[in-house]
Amino acid sequence: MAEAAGPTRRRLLAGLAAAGLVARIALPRLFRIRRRWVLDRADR
Amino acid sequence: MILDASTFPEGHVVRARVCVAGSGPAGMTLARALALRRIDVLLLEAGGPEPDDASQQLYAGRVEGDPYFELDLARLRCFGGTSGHWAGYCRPLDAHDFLPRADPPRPGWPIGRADLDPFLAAAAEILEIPDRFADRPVGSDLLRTVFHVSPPVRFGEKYRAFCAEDPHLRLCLRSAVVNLVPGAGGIRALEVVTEAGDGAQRRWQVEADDFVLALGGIENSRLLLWANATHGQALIPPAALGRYWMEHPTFSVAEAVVWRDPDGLFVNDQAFFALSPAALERSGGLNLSFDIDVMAYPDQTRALIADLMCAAPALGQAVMDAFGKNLVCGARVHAQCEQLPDAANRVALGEARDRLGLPRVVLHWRKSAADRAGVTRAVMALAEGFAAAGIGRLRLLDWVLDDRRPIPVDRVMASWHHMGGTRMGNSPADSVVDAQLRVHGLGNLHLAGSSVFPSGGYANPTLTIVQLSLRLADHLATRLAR
Repeated sequence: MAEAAGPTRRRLLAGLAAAGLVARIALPRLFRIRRRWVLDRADR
Repeated sequence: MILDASTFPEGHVVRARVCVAGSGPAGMTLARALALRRIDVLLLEAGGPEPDDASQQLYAGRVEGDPYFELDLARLRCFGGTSGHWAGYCRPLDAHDFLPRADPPRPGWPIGRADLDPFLAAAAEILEIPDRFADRPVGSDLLRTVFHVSPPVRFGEKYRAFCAEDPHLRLCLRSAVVNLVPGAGGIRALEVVTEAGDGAQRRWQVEADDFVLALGGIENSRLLLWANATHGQALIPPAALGRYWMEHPTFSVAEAVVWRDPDGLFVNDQAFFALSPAALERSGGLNLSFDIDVMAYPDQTRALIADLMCAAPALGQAVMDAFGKNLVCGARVHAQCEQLPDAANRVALGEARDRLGLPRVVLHWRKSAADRAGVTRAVMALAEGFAAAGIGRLRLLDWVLDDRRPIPVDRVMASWHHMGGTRMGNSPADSVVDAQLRVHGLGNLHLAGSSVFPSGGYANPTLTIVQLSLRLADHLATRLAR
């Protein structure tokens, strides 16, 4: 039986998962959105 | 005067000074302009007074290449021609549309805008539109362009009484030209078939000093290809015949948030833009018209601005605030584009025959990678021009950003504009008619209509067609007066 994760490890895993989601889904989506808009330099 | 050609005996010959075949905007304008000069004109119309299925069926053909409209729906075979279902948008070609270009390659016209300008006022009067097109510069790279919209003039309705009453014009309906009869240095006669109500066919001929074919942007090529097939390839210069056929492809290219300006950017929630000549040169030279249409529903605009907030939060918030005060709207951006002339895009004759014995049309039509690249560059120039001029911001569609991505089928079509096939030029090696619209090598055969366009710009062609016909009327009147 796997050893239960402690609170620190759980937070670490949750953080890594969230970072993974951001890296794999949210950031590409944001980049796609930003790429579609043709903006003036001062807009960003 | 309207003649009933179904009563002509088989082999009958009608004589005229000028015979004009086709009663659409090109042929009707020309025939009327000659008749008003008291020149005896015989006007032939293949169809009847109104559209009917039996007549339209003779326009059926096949398209190979990109998706396109059914050929028997894309034009009208009846009195007044395709003006019977046009939308009425009018604009002259730009001066630079007439110029040659090296890359991407495009031949120039053997005439310039200055050769057609003298006929603008008269053409505008015929089409019942103003004759001034006051484009307005927006920033350094954009023009807010003007189209005028004809009522639209239906040439059959407008000139029916003229054709019935004018003493110098004779009109024969249901009289289709099915071949040319060569003579010494030119054309001796046209072979005509008239279908009577019971389907019986009468074959007769027209002899004239001058002949003008104004059959349409596909049929001019079709008849001349058939003439070459039956009389030998030397009759009509074959090198460019049927080739360099063009449309105005249309694309959905972007969505936009646009500030509603106080000095009338939009008319009826629509605005047209084009690139300035300098920006056009930088973007590669393909001339496009951008049609900006205000979104119908606020939720569409709100979603668009929410998307902008992800890309540029401060700007997005400012735009959302302005939207709440009705100072901003969402819009869709469509492009109507010049298509590069390509010899592979052509009108050809198929194996199947219609009931008059003419081969059915096979239209080969594709948009090239160069066409697409030109659109992409121009859209980028428009988007940057919008941002620089502070008009708004564009969100480009994914196909514009990635040229490996196929263009979604619902984002692309065409404009029902048929151009080329018998283009104008200085040499029979790469054109069919000369600067006076006379077929190279044939002294008395001229062509009218958009089939003579060497390039198409983006402007809807009817106004240019009418200008060219008025110019041709001047030329023929001068010839006949000699």
